[in-house]
Amino acid sequence: MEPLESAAASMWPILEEIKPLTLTYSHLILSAIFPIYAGSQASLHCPSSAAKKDSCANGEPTSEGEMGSDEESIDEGEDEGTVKMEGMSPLDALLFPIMAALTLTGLYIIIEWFESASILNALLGWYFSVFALFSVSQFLSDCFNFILGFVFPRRYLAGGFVYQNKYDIKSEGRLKVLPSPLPGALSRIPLPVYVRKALWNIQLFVRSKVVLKFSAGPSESAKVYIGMINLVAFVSAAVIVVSSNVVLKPWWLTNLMGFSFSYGSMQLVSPKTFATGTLLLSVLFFYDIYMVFKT
Amino acid sequence: MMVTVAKSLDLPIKLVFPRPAPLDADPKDVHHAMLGLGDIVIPGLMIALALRFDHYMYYRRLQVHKPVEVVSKEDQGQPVGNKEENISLVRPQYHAPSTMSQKFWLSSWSSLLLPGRRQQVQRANGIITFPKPYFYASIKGYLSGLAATLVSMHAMRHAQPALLYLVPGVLLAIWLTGLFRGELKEMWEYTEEPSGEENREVKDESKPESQSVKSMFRGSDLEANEARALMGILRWLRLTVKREDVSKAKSHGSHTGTADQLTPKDGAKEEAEERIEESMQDKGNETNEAREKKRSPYPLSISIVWPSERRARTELGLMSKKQE
Repeated sequence: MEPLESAAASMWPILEEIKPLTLTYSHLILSAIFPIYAGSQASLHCPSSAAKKDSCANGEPTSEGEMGSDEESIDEGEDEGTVKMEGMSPLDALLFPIMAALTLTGLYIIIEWFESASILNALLGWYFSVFALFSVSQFLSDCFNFILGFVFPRRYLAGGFVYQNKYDIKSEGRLKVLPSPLPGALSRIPLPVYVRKALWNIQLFVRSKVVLKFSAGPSESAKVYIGMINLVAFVSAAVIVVSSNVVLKPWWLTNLMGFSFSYGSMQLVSPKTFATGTLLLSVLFFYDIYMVFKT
Repeated sequence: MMVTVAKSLDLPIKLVFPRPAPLDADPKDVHHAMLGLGDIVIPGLMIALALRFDHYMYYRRLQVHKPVEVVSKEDQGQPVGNKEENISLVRPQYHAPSTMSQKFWLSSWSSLLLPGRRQQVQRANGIITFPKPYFYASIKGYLSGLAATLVSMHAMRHAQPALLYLVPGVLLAIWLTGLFRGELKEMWEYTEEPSGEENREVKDESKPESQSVKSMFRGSDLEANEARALMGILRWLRLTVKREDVSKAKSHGSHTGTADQLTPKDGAKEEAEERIEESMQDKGNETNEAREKKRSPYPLSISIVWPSERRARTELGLMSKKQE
């Protein structure tokens, strides 16, 4: 029992040290899990083992997951446009730490040479700002859509019946049309006509989208849907980015931008196979140890 | 070096968390705990892959193999002893998984109060969900790794490379889950490459050309844009391929949709271009003109469709589509 006791005894002072930092560390853990959870749910797309209309076997992303916009296809059968994921090949995975090391060394040398990081901060700040603008607007629009799903759901269960858009093909006998703009149990609240009309109009306004169609030929076209939510998100993102550059950079703003970068990048890049992913992680494992301890 | 760079660059490359000042320091200073974005994104890529794998495995378990009997011409409908048996794969219909808000609004009290029948009740209400063993396992592995990082940071009083603990946490979680579930083979074979051929379990012996095409196009070293451009060319190629390549064209064309998925390597790209040039010389007059039209550079056109209230109303079921 001795080694166990001594292990426990040596752990105790560490745990005592951690106690005052419990809040910080819980915050840290939650902030790390949040973008991972949200980003991975958002990266879900139709898998190759399933079929949807023209077959998902080619892995086309057809909808968004957790924080995505409405996944039910609009009557005309259009899907919300999403970006295809770029893949990492094993070669990319092997080169990753080398590129990262070179970048890090370069940055370090520049910082040491100029004896301050101000020039580097300014230059990289511009680059990051543009990047952050789009990342944060995507993140915020997904957040707002998430909230919209709670406030104005398209389908809800009330009194044993599922109320929804009556033109959903999958509808069965128990589905009825939305009787009131408020969801769930709130739908029973009797509302005067003008209030009901106003609420419907709010819903319609928030959900209506402009469709930008880019076409470069008879078969190549891409559709981008821009709605009020995207606009509001973009404006907020612009405000955030500008204020973080010009005014002040509180920690929560930095964190917000960090969340949006990780959220966005998890939907864009993927190690296509478990083998590549394992390779990438192992190589970066050694890279990280080397970088932190040997330098 | 890493810590110096991370601390001096005032950019969003890390997450910062305010922490109470240590006892021996000036209480006016603001102290922060730091976590690099790489420590989130890199294991996150693996965790997202695990989630997509769960999604894939769920639909794969729903796949049905239907034996389809192929009858040779000579028999005129009378099957003989050793006939070719093709097993065709029937893929299940895809439904996008329900978002959290949908689950909230569509779940009934009974799904909460009867935990055993939760999945059934959820499905009955129209909630689409799938089991996520690898995802939850990898998240738990990540959390353990993160906890280990924090503890060791205190034990050694030095900044720790978080990936040192996160990587074994996530990787062991995923691979051990695969081991205990006996799905290592599927894990190893799983790929998100656009070519649907590689994910098929079916061996099409009746089409040996497809095998060679498949092996030629395996893997993708090309960027997505190039691949897309090539997809366009290949799609177009279905119409304009020389006689010798008819078998290959058939294997392209017969897997409708899979031709779009083939992403050739550089060598194959040159081959495809050669084929285009050869086939161009063989073309008749009419198709030449048609092809000229197609090939003429389309200006990138952007059209804007303003939302009509009618459409929004239809979405919400407020108006019948036929009332236009």
